Order: sequence, then C-alpha cells, then structure tokens
Amino acid sequence: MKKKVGTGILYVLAIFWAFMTFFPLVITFLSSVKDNAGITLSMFALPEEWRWSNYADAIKVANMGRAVLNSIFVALTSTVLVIISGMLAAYILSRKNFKLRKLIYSLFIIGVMVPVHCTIIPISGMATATGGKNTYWFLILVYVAFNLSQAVFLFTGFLNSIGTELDEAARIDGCNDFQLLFRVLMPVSVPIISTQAILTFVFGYGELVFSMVLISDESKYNISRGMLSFQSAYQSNLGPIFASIIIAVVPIIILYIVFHEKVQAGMLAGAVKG
Amino acid sequence: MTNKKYKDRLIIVLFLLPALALFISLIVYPVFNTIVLSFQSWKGIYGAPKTFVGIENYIRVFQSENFWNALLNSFYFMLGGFGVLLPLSFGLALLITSKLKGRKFMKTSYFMPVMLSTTAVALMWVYILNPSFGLLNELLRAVGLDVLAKDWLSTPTLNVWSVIMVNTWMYAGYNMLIFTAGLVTIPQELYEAGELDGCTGWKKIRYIAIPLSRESFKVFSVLCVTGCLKAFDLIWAMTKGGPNNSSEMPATLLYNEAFTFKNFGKSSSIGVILLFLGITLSLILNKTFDQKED
Amino acid sequence: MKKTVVKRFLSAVLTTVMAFTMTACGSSDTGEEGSKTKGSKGDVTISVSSRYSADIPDDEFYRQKVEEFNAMDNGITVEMDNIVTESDYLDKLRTAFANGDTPNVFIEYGGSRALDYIEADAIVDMKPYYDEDKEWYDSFYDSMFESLIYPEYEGSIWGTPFKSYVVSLFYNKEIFEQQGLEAPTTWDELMDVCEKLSAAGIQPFQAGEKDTFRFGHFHNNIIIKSLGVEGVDKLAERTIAYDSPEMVETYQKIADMNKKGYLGVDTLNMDYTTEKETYYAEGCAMRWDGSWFVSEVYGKDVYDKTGAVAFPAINEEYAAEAQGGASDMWYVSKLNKSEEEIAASIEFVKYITSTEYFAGNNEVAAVVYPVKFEATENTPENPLLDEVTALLDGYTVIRTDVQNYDPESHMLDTVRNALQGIAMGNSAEQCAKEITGRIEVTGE
Repeated sequence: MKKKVGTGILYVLAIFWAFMTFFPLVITFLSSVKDNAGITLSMFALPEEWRWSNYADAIKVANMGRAVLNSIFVALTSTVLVIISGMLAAYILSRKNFKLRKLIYSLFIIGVMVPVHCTIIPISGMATATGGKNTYWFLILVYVAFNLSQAVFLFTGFLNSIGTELDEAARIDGCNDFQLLFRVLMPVSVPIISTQAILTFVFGYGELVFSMVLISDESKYNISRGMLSFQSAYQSNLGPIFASIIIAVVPIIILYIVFHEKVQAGMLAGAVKG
Repeated sequence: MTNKKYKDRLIIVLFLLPALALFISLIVYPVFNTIVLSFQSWKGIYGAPKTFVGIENYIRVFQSENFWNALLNSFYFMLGGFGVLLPLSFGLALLITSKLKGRKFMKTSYFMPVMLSTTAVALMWVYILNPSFGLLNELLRAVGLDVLAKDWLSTPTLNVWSVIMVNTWMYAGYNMLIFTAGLVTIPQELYEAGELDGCTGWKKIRYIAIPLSRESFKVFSVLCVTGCLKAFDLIWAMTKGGPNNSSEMPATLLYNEAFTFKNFGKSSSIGVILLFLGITLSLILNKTFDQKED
Repeated sequence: MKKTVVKRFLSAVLTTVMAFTMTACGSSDTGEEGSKTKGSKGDVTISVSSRYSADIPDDEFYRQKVEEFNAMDNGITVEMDNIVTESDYLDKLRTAFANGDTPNVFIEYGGSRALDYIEADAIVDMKPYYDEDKEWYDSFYDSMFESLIYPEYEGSIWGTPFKSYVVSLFYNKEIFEQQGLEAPTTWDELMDVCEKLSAAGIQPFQAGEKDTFRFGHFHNNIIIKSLGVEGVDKLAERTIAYDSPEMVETYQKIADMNKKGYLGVDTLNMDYTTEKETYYAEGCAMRWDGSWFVSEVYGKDVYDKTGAVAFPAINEEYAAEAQGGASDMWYVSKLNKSEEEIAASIEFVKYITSTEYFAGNNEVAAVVYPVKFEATENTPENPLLDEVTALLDGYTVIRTDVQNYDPESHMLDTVRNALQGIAMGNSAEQCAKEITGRIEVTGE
C-alpha cells in the first residue's frame, strides 16, 4: 500500500513538472499565429484567427529556412570538434601522469568562469587580424573554445570515475593510446559524450552575442539573429518572432530525442562492464 | 625505455594540442588582456589612450554600492541553485532513469525549456509574471490568494528571486542531463544487491544513487557557482538589471560599465574579481568533495 | 566499434571540408545581385552599419535604395550590416571601435555619444563637403544640425541627419468629446484633464516604463517647457545642477502624476509595444510620442480618432520650444580608412540623404523628415501627419534628448535609470541624488 501511494505521488509530481515545462511551448505556438494585440493583451487565450501568414513571413522575410540550416551547421560542427578535442585532452588529463597535469587541468576549469563580455573585444580583434571576421570557421572555433572547459571538466571527471580495469584489459590486448581511447573508452563514455553533445549543440544553435559581433552577412545569420528582423526601432512584430521560435525549435527537439536515446543505451552498456 | 618515454611525451603533446591551442588563443589571451586592462583607464576606442591607474579601478568597484548589491544578488542565485535547482534536477534525473511510465515524453518535456531560446523564455515569463494580467496573479486571485499577487519583477529582491525561479525552471532540464549521465553509470547489480539487503525506495537513493553520484555533484557545484557569478542572459532579457539597478548582477554591471559608461578599465576589474571569486570558490568546493572521499 | 570511430572521423573531416568550402563561398559573397560586376579599376567596397533590418516599409525602403545604389555604375559597392535592437547594435559598434575595425558609414545618435569618437579623431568632419555642395546643405532644416556641432569644435559639422522627429501629445478625440474635455494646452489643464478622466474611470496615460526612454522623453519635454532650451544648455554646463530646486520640481511633477496613477498602471512591467497596443485598443486616452507614431497608427481603427497637440506649456516663455530634431545621423569613419573609401562613403551619404530619397521614403512612411521637399503625387493623404507638421512649423527651436548635449556620455542612461526609480516609488529627492551621485563617481 505504501509503495502504491509513494508511486502515486511520484506520478503527480512528474506530471506536474511535465506540464510546467510543456505549456510554454503551447503558449509559444498559440502566440505564433496571433497578432500583436492577441499576444500582448490576451496571451493565454486562443487566437481569434489563426495567422499562419506569420510562418510565411518568418520564412520569407527572416529567411528562417536558411537561418536554421546555418544554426545546425555551426552547432553540429562545433559539437563534433568539442567532443574530439575534449576527449583527447580528457584522456591525457585522466590517464597520464606528468608534471603540468594539474596546471593544465586547472587552466581548463578556469575557462568555465570567464564572463563572455570580457572576451568580446579581444576575440573580435583577433577575428579581424586573422581574416576570420564574417566566416563560419572562426565562429565555430570560438564556440568550441567556450565549450571546451565544460567538456574537459565533464569528460575528465567521467573517465576518472570509471576506473582503469578496461584500460588494463585493453593494454594486455596490445592497444596503444589511440586505440584505447577511440575503441574502448569512447564507446563506454557515450552517456557523457551525448550529454555534452546535446549541451554544446544547444549552445551553438541559439547563440547570439558572438554571432552578432562576428557575422555581418545576412546569408550567414543563425536563428537568433534572423528572429531580430521582426523587431524594429519602435515596434515589434511579435507573431512572426514566435513563429520563428517554433520553426527553430523543431529540429532541435528531433535531435535531442535521437541523441538522448544513446544516453539510455549507455545505461545497459554500463551494466555489462566488469 | 627512452623511446617509449619519448613516444609517450609525444602522445601527450599531440592529444592536448588541439584543445590547448584553441583554449589559449581564445580564452587565456582575452583573460590576460582583461587583467592588464583592469589596471588601466580606457574609453574603448582604438587609438584612445590607455592610461595606467594602478588599483584605482578596484577601489572604485569596492566602493560602489551597486557592486555589493550585485554580489548579493549573485549569492541569492547560488542559494537558489543549491537549495532548489540541485534537488529538483537530481530528482528529475532519478525520475527519467526509473521505470516510470511515460518517461520518454517527460524526458523531452523536461528539457524543453533549454531548447527554447533565452529570448523566448524571457518573453513568456515576463508576461506570466505581469502583476495585472499575468497568469500567475490571475490564478492566485482566482483562488482567493490576492495577498500573494505581488509585483514580481519590479519589487527589489523579490524580482531577483523571480528571475532565480525562472532560471531554475530553465536549467532543471540542463542539470538533469548531467545527473543522468552520472546515474546511468551505476551498475544495476548494485541496486539488485542492495535490494537483497532490504534496501528499497528512498534508501536506494540515499545509500546508492547519491554517494555514487559524487562526481556529478562536484560538477554541478562548480558549474552552479561559476554560472551564478557570470549569469547574464536571462536577467538581461527579463529585467536588464533594473528597475533602477535593483536586480543588477555582476555580469550586467560588467557589461554596463564597458558598453554604456565606456569605463573599460573598471569593467575589466569587475571581470578579474569575478574570476578570482570563481577560482577561490571552486577550489573550496573541490577540497570539500575530495575530503568526502573515503 | 571500429565503424563508429571511422564514421566519427569521416564526419569530422567532412564537416571541416564543408566549413572551408562554405568559407570560400561565404567570404566573397556580398549578398547583392548587382555587385558581381567588379571589373573596373577603382572599385571600392564600403561597409555601412545601420539599424534598419526590420520588415517595416521604412526599413525595407532603405535596403531597397541601397541595392539600387549598388546596381548603379559608380564603382562603389555597399555591404550592409543591419542590427535592429539598439543595445546589440551599439555593442557591435563599440566593439568595432575598440578594435579599430569600424564600418565606413554608420548610424549613431548625435550629441555626447558621438563626442568620444570625435575626440579619438575617428570621424570625418563633414563641413568642407557641405561648403562644397551648398544645395545639399541647404536642403536640411537648420535645427537638424544641432546635435552635430560642438562648442569645442567650432566650425565643424560631424555628420549628416537622416531621421528626424518631434514629440507631440496624441489623444483620442472621441474619448475627449464624450467626456466634454478639450485638449490641454498648459500643464494645469493637463492635470485637470487627467483628474476628470480618472474620475470617469478612463486611464489618462498608460506608459510602458519598462522601456526607460518613455519617462526620459516625458522628462525632456518637462525640462524644455519649464526651463527652455537655454535651460538644457545650462544643465550641460552644470550651471543648473541636476539636484537644483528647478530640477527637483521636474522630477516632482512626474512623481505626483505617478502617485495619482495618471501615468498608468504597472508601468514598470509594460513595454513600449504593449503601451501602443493599449492605446490602439482605446485603453487609454492620451500618449506622448515622437512623430514616427503617425506612421504606426496609420491604418489602425483609432487613427481617425487621433489628434495631436503640442506638449502642454509650463512656462509661457518657452511654449514654442519642444523636443525634436534629428534622431538618426550618418557618420563617416576615417579610422584606418583610405582616401578612396572616404570619398566613396561621402558619395553614399549624399545619395541616401538626397531630397529624392526622402520624397520616395515619404510615400511609404509618413513621418517628419529632416529636409524640405515637395511631396510626390503618390503620397497618400495623412491628416494626422499634417497636424504634426503644422505643430513643428510653429516651434521656434527644438532639441533632442536633453542629455545628448551633456559632455558625459553616460548621462542619458543615468537620468533614464533614475526616472525609472520614480515609477518604482522613489521620491523626487531620491531621483536627484541618484543622478548627482553618479556624476560624482564618474567625476570628470
């Protein structure tokens, strides 16, 4: 009996929180088909008329289609690069013992604390100096650098916590460092890699500050920049902004669902080890 | 032997190179720049003089009431982080790794706030928290709790806590992922073994899940503390540090000093102070967690 | 296992390759159709930064005209960079100035904000070009150059006006008629009107003070009407202090109105957009705003009911003075720029501020313009705009934001911040103290 009540309460809490997190999406969707008055003065009411034209506006005027592709491209590339460079570094920091290890590890951790606005001006200056202004690659490298701290932090911690039995087994099999990392440790680290991948992707997908400062070409706008098209100096056209948000959020939901499966899959892999 | 050592060293350098190179050029260099600038006075225009002023910027910052208020607000964020966000996101992580039905949907829904951009989240919550026609106060009035229908975003201190709650709402999903990654590595056998010993329900969590998630808690603590110190996006989008500087955070102060008041030196000194605080607090946290290890 | 590794590696390589190919296509892409013909010698590319990126007719007209300029065979290619939100735009601009990699031409607001650039010798003095082209110079109203000249730099004019405005009091004629009220001409009449409207359950104003410029503009008008434009100059010179009795009186006026609820309900939680929506829905009877409002209310149901009068007089002596002037100005940067780039920039500025441009703009956006021109036949009828223009003609002198003339560039934000405090319940004295406190700290 106690168990049933306990489970019951859990369900209530779980559903309550699911509602808390889901209904803003519903509101966003409803707002995406309203006009300004409908949004500002009656946000939680159903729309009087369903302005699907907001979506047409979002795609035509803000070029959301292209913006989404840009966002995905930049986010995906930076994610891949973060994982590779992050795991390489984490492997060394976790498995190898050398003089500067603590120093380098601390260096990466400090990166987590750096406020973004301290770095905008020097980075912008570097962009000009290296010709990276208004290019994808420089922006991607910036995203990678900013995510490396957390990645190295998470990966190193994870590798530290899974013990060295696998390492020993692999060494006996004759694996070198490269093979040990990529064939043995990385698959086991899928949960943390997927987690960091999702977080890095989300970061790069909707990032605004660096994208704003480094990119000038309209064709390279990401989704956050594209959305700004509906705000003019003295007025905001809120409907298409929300429509842009919906258009932007759909791909990321799909990606998230796909990636998080891997984390659950990692649960089984973890059980098998040892 | 030396050949192997040489090879080993090479591997170390090669593996670290990509991350380190990027990191040093894009993070360490700007930080160094910031430190140097914190001892200077500069109006922020190329060619304008950068005059050395020693620790004057730091003195000014420590004398400013606004700074201490901002630091206090930042501290509130940390309180909220450890008091609410931690149990909440850990709880959610437990939920989605359990055998509860519908957890796939919940998994996505809980993460939804993170997937919506900060702009969208801010816009939405500003309307919900509107004292006159916002959903929250309408609900409170509907159940007769008029007294509780406050001016959430304009009352000093209360507005900071309102943003903290929205922040919690947003990042519960984010941290849920981090805790999940940790929980997922706990082998099922441990739970099964525990059950044989009579360990069920809450005890399972208390004696197995929590201790074995120590690493995750450590990660969370560092990310939380540093995140609270440098928090900018949400508070800027919801209140811009106002009204009248009541919800100012160190990062919004830093931003304002540089881009509004054109005191790049003073702004940099705030940055250095934040870094210093972050490092100190992280070190303390690391020591605390390492001590618990036995 | 091996498959995932190879797959991962390949995808990494692929994306890197993609990145580079995109870069190759990207960096040479200017997004303009007509700019591909870069054959002739002396072809110059200039970058122009503005805030006109939205989907409203005014901004669209600007972008269209720039593309027409590019299609012309003049050896100049313009690359636009438009960011609409003010704080983001200024962030990028200031970052650019910090690094010395600035746009060739950019929009900024005159007064003290541009003073920093001038002091750093980063801006081109436009006076010689005005002297050279008298016709162009004379097309502008004199008052438009107010914020572009500084006493320290006598004889220089530092930019070109592009957008202008004048602040008026707009009101719902129908509501006034129903209540038997007349549009106020003095401050006392305004208080009277507010009292009667409130008593009848009608909200006099509904300010969106989340956006601090609302009280900012309101305060500007109070200053100008009580202390005159000469008062504005005295404030800048600090011969009138921000905590002097006259100034405290200005804060007091706002505080009193706020207390009685005349300025609106929950003003701190309402933004500018919602403020206007409230007026459109006839939720309030009046609002003060710039002349750009005319083009926004045009076409709405409430348009026909809207009238415009001058901001109420406080001191009879200054009744014919008002807030207005050039809001957006073009500046030409000379920081690390070549002679050809500067020449091309000037040519662009002349094109975009020609009377033809403004006449064309007038067809799609009904606002007050910085130049004198004949309206074309295509321009639609707009009685409200005519009302506002008539008001403008009646003023003897206009000034933009009071703090624009202040030597310290932070004053605009400082004062607006302090005024927001009044909406929070601060007293007039507290407001004064905040402003003077900040002046002291910045101590120049």
